[in-house]
Amino acid sequence: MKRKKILLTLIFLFFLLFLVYPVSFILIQCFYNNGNFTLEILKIAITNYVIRKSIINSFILGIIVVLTTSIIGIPLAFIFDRLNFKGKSILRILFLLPMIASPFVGSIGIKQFLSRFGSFNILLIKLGILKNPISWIGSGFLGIVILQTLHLYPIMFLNITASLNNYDISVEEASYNLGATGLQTFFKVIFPLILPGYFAASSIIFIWSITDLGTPLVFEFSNLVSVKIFYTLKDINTNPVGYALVFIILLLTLLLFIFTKRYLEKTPYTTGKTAIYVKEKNIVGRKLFFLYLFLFFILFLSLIPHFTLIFYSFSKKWFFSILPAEYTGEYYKVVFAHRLTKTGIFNSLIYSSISTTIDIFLGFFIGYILARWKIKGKELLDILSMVPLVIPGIVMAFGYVATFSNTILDPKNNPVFLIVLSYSLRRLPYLVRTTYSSFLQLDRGLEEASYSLGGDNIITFKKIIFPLVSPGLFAGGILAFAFSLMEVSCSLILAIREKFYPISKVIYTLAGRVTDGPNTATSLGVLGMLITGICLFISTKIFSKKIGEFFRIG
Amino acid sequence: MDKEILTVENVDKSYNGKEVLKNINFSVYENEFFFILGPSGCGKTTLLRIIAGFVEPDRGRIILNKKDVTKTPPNKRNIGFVFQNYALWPHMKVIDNIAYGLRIKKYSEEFIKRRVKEIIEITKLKNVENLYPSQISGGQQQRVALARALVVNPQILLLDEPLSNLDAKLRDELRREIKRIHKETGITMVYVTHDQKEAMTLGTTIAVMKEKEIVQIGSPYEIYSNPENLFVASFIGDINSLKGKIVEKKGNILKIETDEGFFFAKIKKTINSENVYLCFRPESITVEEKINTITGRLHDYEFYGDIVKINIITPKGNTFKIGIYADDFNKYKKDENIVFSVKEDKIMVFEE
Repeated sequence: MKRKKILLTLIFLFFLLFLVYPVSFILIQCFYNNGNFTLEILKIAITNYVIRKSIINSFILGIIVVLTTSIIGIPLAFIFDRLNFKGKSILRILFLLPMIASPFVGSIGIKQFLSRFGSFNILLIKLGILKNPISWIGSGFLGIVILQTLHLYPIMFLNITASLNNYDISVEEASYNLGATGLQTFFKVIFPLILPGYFAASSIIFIWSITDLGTPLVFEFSNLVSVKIFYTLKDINTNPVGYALVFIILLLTLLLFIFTKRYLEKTPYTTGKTAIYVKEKNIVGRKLFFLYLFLFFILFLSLIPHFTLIFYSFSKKWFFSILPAEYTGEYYKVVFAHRLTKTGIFNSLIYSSISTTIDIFLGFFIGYILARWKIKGKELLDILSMVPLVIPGIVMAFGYVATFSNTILDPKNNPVFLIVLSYSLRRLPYLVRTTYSSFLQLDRGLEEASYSLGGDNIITFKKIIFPLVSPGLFAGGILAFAFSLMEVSCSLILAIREKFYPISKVIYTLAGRVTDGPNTATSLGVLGMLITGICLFISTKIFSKKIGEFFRIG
Repeated sequence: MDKEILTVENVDKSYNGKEVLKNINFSVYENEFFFILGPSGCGKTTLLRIIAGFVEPDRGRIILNKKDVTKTPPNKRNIGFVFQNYALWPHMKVIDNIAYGLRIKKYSEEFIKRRVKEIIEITKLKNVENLYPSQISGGQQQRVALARALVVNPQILLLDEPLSNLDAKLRDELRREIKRIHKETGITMVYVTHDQKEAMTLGTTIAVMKEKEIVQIGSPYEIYSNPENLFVASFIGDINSLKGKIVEKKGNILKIETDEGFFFAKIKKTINSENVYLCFRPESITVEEKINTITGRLHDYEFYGDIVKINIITPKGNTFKIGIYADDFNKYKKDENIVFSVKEDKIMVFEE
């Protein structure tokens, strides 16, 4: 019992120092001036025209992206839920592909595609639709919307699919049976049932969109809160507006999160499930052709950033043509030879490996404590381990810079510790949840059977508990690794000196160099995409197959 | 048959202030097939888990082979446990599930091989040793659970509703298997169930539980023919009951007044209250005697092959179930009146 208490106290201290303290530091800086409570800083932030404009812009951006992801994600969810057609399972995976490239990397590709003399304009001119090229990106806002939409619609797709799976098809049949039309059934039955899922997805997308830092930076659109926060960090000691902006984002996130949670709790819309029977309609013949046309069109659109990125990375000459005129593999050689890229890859691998290891250990123990221990303070641990979910990366990074400046952990000297910590804290909730639910699914009898046969705690842990929980843990670990490898916000903010740059910051830096920079940046981006893709593939394999098989008996 | 293997002494257990076991006492003897029988929620599984050591009692002692094991952790008790859902480890092959306990005890691989082979033969698990639990049938999973518990030669084997997840046919088959294994291995078993048929057909001793207490312990025959109270009487087998009032006592003969007239009952124990329940089993009737008669209309019947159970409704609205041999059944017709009498010494009387 004593050992348990010590362990728990250590975990609490960890959260206190690296999660609670930085966040409260931001609040204090925002509301206290020389020890007095003040709303002055918040007032400056809101009354300043440029800053107010950026807040409004961020809001508009978030709302537009929620709408555009809805337009793509909801129909897709219905198609995959209700229709049956050849190639469905492969297509389902393909539609999740856009997630593997962060929009920040994709934006380098799309910039090329949509630029004044980019592929899109050339194509339109060749087709005779355009006479003179147009600047599609303009201020960059449209580019951000496109990139974020293409990256985020899978979240909508997945959430709506889950909602549709939450209830039994018989509730719709009951509506038809009582004389309702398809439209009536949709608005009276289906829509209310998927609304909670839609709301949850919208909140995630909204917050993601307004806290995205990488994409607006690449498009050089600075009238957004996230970018403003990034720039205020440079003179954080003299300009406190950054604190106010971070506070606004934090408040917004928290409100949305609480509201969503309340809303979801109020609407426990699940119905009993009847035995398996087919609800999908088979699509064949001409209908199938049009369905494919539609699906591949969307798929093609959403993969444009990826394709252009790949072409870009191999292009030797790409001017005034739809596709590059000449190809070369040279930039990939550069990636492994250039000092900066080498450093970036090395750093990212190190940071991600350490942070993932921390995640696996911490996630496992917290999950275990939550599921198995009877100890005071468990509820608090549960809350603390979930808090990183509602703290956007940009807020966490800002908090770290602000809090630990001029201390031994100052990122201006050596950011490794804080980068690793921010990576692992941001992914920790997922690993805690994974292990926690693995433990809940794990029948107590499996452990007790071992005890009854003479196994002590250590043997039972080694032979029974760990092998059964570890597939989930490792699958989660691989995902955490992949996401850390391509993490943007914390990487851009915390890595200040070149020698500590992770991949994202290297890509950002290179993309800004006029000559060969963008090509090398895209090559590095493609490599990152590849690694993320492989990690996702492996982890879904482990998640779906092994765990599925494991827990099917009993 | 008289060596005490397990004694449960004055055991109490509460969860969050709610009492689930109250003053439990009983002993299990060597080679016995001991049943704990009761409706769901009566605390029987908790009792079994206390014996296994998964749950600690609030009060009382568990004595195993004359040794107090109340504070001994489950892995030091050498008690076998068969779980209701089998609790087979999904990541281990059948053979590894079975060998687990032996490997923990660090036996030589050669011995383990021999012993596992032996137990696989007893439990008829040949050909599935190298499969994973998810690849074998429910009945086979049950056999693996048995084999895994038996292989280490536990002092006693506890079974927690082991057949409740199987369909009726498999259940019958495995019931016979468990009986055979009990005979072949001679192991002492404590078996928890809510299925009285299981307890009656397999058990050498049955402890009937009702809401956190044991209400009667005895052989299946004793429990059936001489139940302690109305609960036991109605929980095990069919029973007819009628409210009544004692109007006269002559030695061990009671005269009881009921809706259906006066009844005479020969009793074995003293009855203190005046208001009683008069009960009898369907087969405790005869058509010859002239006392304790009941007249009623044949309402419907259940055909069991060898016997027929007839439901009778009296003019007063009471219903009775009586059992007769199938050969005699064609004497009766639906809706016709039947007169029968209850044997004096077969009437059970319970205080209200």
